[in-house]
Amino acid sequence: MSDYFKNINEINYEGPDSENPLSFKYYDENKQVLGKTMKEHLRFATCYWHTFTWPGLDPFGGATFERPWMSDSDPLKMAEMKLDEAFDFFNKIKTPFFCFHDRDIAPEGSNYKETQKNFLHIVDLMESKMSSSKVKLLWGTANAFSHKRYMSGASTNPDP
Amino acid sequence: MDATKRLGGSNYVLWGGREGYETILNTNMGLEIDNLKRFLELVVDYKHKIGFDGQILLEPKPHEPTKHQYDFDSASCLAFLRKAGLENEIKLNIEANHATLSGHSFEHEIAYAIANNALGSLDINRGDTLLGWDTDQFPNSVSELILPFYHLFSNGGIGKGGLNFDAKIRRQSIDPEDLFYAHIGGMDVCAKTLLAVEKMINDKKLSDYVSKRYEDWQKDLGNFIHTKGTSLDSIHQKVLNENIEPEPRSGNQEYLENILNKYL
Repeated sequence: MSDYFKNINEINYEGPDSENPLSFKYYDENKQVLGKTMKEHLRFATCYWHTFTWPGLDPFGGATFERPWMSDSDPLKMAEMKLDEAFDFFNKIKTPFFCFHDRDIAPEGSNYKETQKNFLHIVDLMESKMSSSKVKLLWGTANAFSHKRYMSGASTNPDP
Repeated sequence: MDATKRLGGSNYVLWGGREGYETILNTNMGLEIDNLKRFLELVVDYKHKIGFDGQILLEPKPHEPTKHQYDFDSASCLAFLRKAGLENEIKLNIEANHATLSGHSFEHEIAYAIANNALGSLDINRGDTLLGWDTDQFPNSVSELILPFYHLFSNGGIGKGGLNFDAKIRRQSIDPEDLFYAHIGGMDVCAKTLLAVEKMINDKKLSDYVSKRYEDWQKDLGNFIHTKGTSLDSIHQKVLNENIEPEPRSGNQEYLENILNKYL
């Protein structure tokens, strides 16, 4: 169930004179510009890492966002909740695409095999979410920098 | 990459945040760069093996977290890709705030990639000129985006790439609505800039100026220099024979800046 954004409706174009802060003033996705629609030209993507995974920490302080999917309970359940909320966000903001790192969408396990299992579990759910949503994947990527095994690099690590 | 293919992704991005080094005291740079090349070869081979039809993209960034990153900027990435023979396999994902950290403007990095047929996708965000790190803020200024977009949309647009908001709200923006305000603002400023750029492109004032500035390359001396078989000494002889002495012409920067301001 996704209810974190329950008080926010789908964002629509209302034009530059609108006083509604939750509306588009210039982005009119079907408007023709230079031979294509704005949506086709701009191909916007929401990123998973800053928008749903980063908890607001900086080098001087910890999490400030305290989203419901950032609690200390079962990390895989939290990843499932995050996925639900992310798709609710995509459907409301109407960026036609999203992007993610593998570690944004699913938690590390106690070993690499378990990490991979967690990842594939969320990919299964994501595939099903995408089949009932208009949002598409602009790009995927691997986080090969956060885990301590990448402390000295991934492909340029002194230790293979 | 398997997951990206399965989910129908259009691109797969490689950002080498720790592909660099902190101190030369403990670093074998030659081996590290060879290993990076080997890694990219393996990535490209795997793409073809599984039949992934998206673009593979490198994302330049000069430093942070490592002090010296091998993918410093578009030019460094392209030099590396050419040495590795991968320039037809890998394009670039250019980020605004990474461009400014490398001492370039976003429009420079985009124009450089376009000139080398290497533009893949864009991470659309902004830095803070008073802060020296990657602040990853949402874009909110037409004047910052107008030249990047002018170059992008004068040259066919973003293709299979897109405009990814690699951007974060400030850590004090803790309401759910703040995530929406940030994305709405970013999408609106891009849309507003696109409308301004449509006028710039259709008016052709800037493109006509640049065409005229370089038009002599289509004439006698320009053609002679471009012709295969022409040598430095034959150019020298032509200059002597024809007493060639180009008359300096103004670059008219302020005139052009005033034209640009009309579109903001």
